[in-house]
Amino acid sequence: MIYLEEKYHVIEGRYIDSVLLMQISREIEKMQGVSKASCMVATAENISFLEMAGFHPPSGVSGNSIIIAVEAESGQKCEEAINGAIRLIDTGMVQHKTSYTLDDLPDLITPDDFPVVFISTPGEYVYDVANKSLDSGANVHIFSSNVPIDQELRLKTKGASKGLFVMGPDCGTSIINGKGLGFANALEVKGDIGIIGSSGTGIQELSVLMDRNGLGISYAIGVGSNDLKESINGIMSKQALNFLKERCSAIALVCKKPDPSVEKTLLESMGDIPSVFISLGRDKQYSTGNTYVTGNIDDAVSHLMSKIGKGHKVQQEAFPKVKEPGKERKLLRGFFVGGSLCYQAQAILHGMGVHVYSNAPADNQYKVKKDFDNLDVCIDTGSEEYVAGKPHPMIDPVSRNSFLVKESGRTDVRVILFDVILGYGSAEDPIAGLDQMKSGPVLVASICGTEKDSQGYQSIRRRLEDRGVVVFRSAARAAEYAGTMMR
Amino acid sequence: MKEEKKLKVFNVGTSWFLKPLEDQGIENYNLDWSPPAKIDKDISSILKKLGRK
Repeated sequence: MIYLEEKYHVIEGRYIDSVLLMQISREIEKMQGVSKASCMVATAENISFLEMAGFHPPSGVSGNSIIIAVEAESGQKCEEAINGAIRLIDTGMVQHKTSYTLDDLPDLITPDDFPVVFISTPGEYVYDVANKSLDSGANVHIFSSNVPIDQELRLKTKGASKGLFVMGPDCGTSIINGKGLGFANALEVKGDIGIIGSSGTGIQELSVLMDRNGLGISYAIGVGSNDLKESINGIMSKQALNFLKERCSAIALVCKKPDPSVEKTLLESMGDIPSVFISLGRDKQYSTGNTYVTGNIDDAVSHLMSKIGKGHKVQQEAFPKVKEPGKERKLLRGFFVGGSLCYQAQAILHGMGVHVYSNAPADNQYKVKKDFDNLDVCIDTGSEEYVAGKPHPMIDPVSRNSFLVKESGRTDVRVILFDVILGYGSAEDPIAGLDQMKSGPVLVASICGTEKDSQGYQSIRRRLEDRGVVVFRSAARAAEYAGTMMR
Repeated sequence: MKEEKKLKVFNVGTSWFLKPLEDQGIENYNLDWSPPAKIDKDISSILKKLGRK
């Protein structure tokens, strides 16, 4: 019998970003005699995550603190690990230290630059950083969420008056002249198609499927999920549209639930350039002028292929035959890292008569929080209630993947649906731990990625298929297949 | 078509996204940043009484 010791250390009032804390956790977990370790911002959510992981953290720890939790073979080993973590926090792991600050921006920008300040601070600090960046003549890409809407409006109004972009907030992806910012894929085809996107994984899925079909992208301007709401009135979408019209041969706009007045203005502004307007989940397609309006990314790519492609059609992926699960298996359980892919899956499933609940619902009557044990669900594990104080699951897929493993062991689950997103910024191994999945339910996944992505599309696909997962390139097609399995 | 300018990225916040920039050969700078110190409510009220913010 091995007795393990636990120890905790709390650092009050210190800010360390959650990604760095994740990296430090991994480092100290490698220390001899340490069985598990975690460094986290001590939010209530993270404290309960520690409890779920078998720790017994002290009560009353402030949410502004960092908690280091260690389980090891002895108290001394715990102390060594905690001291190691403190050392890494203080010195060792802060890479890329520079002597520059925001005050140096004006001196670092030259007239030949397309300068972008990439902001991933907590939301409450974004306004000051972004405002100062705009004053210095830089565009901003705001990765952070939780930026108040009035601040977003002020920043975008100011940006537009200066001809600068305010990408985001809550913007995961942009592509500037063929180079990716944030989460983006290593695309293989050079081209001059432009994307405007209010959804990060929507941009990634669209760009990867276009790339796969020989359509090259030069720009993707991420405008953030609020831009197509009346309160922001598409300020940055309109600016992006004008910018792209001067540079691109075709434009694709991808969004979720645009407000009708903003959608109308944008459609009127598209002009003659060949374009697609993808409002995820829309169930009707139509054309207006040279713009094709649809609710499905695959359909949009097919349309672009017919308009500007090299004549070949998009090959729809076939549905493989698998052994039908028993009748006692009734539930569909979807766990996504990509919010837009979760949204699109819900819309497709609703359209097939499979009414899935979600924490980020495509249809508000199917809203659910955390009590969804016996429901058909598509859960966005990248939404705020799952990531507060933790890295996004595209960076650290452990918690999402542990959901998948747990659900696969249930005897009442019929289909498990999930997404895997490769590319810059995504975890080195986005399917870590999934070799523990059981094969009772039908396991269905989509992979958004290219062979040039560092994780390697084929290698990830092979590993999933070896576990019995049915794999699709298209998230829409994966959702359709999952829906078929529910009939 | 417009002549394109050179992308230059300044990072404020997590350093996670710097490696992808380097992998793509994008000129980048990590700007030092930490949250402004929070002033305790009691100290804040004393400062206000003294006529300072």
